Amino acid sequence: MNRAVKRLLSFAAALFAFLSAGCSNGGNTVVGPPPPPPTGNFSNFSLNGQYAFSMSDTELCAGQGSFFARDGSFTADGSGHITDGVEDVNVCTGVFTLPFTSSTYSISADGRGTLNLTNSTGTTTYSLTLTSPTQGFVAQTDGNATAGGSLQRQNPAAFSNPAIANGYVFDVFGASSAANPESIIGRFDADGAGSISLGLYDSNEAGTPSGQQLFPAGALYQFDHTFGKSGRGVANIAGHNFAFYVVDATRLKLVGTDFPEVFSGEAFAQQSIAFTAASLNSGLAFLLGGSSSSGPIATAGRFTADGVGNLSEIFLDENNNGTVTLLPSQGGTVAGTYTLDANGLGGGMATWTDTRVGTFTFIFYLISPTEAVFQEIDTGITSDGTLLAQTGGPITPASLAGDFAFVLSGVTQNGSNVDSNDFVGQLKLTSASGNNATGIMDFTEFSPAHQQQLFDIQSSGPLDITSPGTGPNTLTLTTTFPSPQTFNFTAYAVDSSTVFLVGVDNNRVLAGSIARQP
Amino acid sequence: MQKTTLVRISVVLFALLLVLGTSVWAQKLADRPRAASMRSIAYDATQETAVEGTVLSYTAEAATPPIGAHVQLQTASGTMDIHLGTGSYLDANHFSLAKGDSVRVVGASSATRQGTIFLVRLIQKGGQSLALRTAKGAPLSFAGARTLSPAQRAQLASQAGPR
Repeated sequence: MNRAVKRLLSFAAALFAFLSAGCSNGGNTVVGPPPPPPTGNFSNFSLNGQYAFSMSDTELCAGQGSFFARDGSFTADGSGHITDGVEDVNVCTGVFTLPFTSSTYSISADGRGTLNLTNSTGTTTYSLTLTSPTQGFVAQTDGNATAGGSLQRQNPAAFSNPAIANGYVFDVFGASSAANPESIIGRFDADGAGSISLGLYDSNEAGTPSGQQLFPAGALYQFDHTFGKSGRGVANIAGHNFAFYVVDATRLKLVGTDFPEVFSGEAFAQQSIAFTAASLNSGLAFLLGGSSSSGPIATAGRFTADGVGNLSEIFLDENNNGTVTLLPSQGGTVAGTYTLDANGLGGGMATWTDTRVGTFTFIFYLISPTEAVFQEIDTGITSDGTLLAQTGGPITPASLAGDFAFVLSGVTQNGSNVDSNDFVGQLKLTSASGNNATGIMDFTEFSPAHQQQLFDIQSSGPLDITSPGTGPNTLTLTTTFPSPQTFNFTAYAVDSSTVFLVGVDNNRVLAGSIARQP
Repeated sequence: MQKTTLVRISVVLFALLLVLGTSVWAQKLADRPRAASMRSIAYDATQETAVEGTVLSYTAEAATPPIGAHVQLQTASGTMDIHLGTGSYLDANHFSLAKGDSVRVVGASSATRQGTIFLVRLIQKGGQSLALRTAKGAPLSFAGARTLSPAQRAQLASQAGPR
């Protein structure tokens, strides 16, 4: 389940790039008061082997903010050195494949750390928090850009065409060549030899859905001869060119290489079954992020699917550039339905209507009966993310107690600036009532006129669980340094190890999740 | 000759099968809505209008959503709340607004819980004109900088820092 959550975060992290204008690299660095000594079992040895990473958010370009994406792979030696690696960056000046030279990292006992990756253009710096030695969250925190995403340990045995075979579901988000936000979700079959068939996709460009489409001619995938040892390859999916990095045979990271468009996302091995309405027969939580006509949008919620096309117990929290909508609305009721495509390939549609707010419509492609990629298609909204079955309930403060890594991405109205933000850190939850959440995080405030990196910022507050815990819960985190700030979230638990967060403040739009550390 | 003919026939048959195969799949494509529900704060390009007026106030810090820069515009038909997106996008394009400025805006009205707001696609002041949204109504502050000319990109690339 953690894997799916990391994926979710990379989508959510991808979605917000709404700033502009500015000055040069660097910005201010602020370090919080010394935190308590970190505790836990992580160390530099926890990052050991080959890892694939993906990130996206905002760079500065000719004085304006601009969405960008980076995917890559590095090899960590377990003692603080990055010995090899390569990345693909899609920035406003073009698309570049950049090998890493000598680079470094450090990991603290709590799984938090730093990563410095050097290529021919210089060194970029990241904060990260591991959820385990095999995966973690990452945010760029060097003032050159802001980005958030995830990393996973790679399995080199899967670095060949034959390993990439059978069905895959994919989700990419980014900007079209016309500078519109665009989400593309779908599925395809890989034949283990570089050919792709049965490709289907749904695109949503600036809130205009394409309807389901066939892949145009030219779909393929092929490992790279130069950087193949990094698990790198190239692919044409849904008519777009990508570089991919293999995590393992079940997961590929994708970054678009057609300029000026830019996409970031992932593909996941699809369970080989004929999907029907009966495939969805549980409670499911979702998290989406993207863009609306007015700015960034983040949405989280949950529903119960009954296996025959009906949805019930529908809850949703949407933050549309500061306008917060909750379902069910006050005085309203919500009812919905869903359908699976007749071809059995896992595509489908879910829709529900709140009697006071209106109708919400989504496309999905099932990875399995418990996982899907999820795309909203309501007019003016381009937003996508993840749908995951809720398991292991009821959710209680006791079941959630423990240490979690977290990642958040979004924007904040900060005086006259609208800052892009990427957060990564650790959250400790106890079973006590009241002030039961304490956190420590690194994050960026990034706009053309204001670039600031903040490290070791502590927060605390209550996580209030409403029984049975699978619906909307509330998390409030308050920081006191460098200035008092309160972050209000609605928390939807997937299980006792994974919780989706959506910010419900009027002055910021944030989405992300927490994932349990061992 | 016979072999060549057979190859040609095979190619034609293969092409025909491909077309038929695609056709079969096309018939199986799921029926999706091409225009889904209209939600609040959505830009409806079919409802675009042009409005002229005088700036009563400008703020880059919204007191009420949507987040971003707002103008209170006095028009012949009353006062309008105008949403311009992020103020820094205006700054980056050297476009300033102040009380008393006469402006012309092209955009679309949208209902919000706080009332009606006018989402601007194009703003003009004096001889200055600035596009704030794409033709589909998406804020250009998201990725508008990616449409720079090759010459501008080349100049930026020479100045770029670490990537």
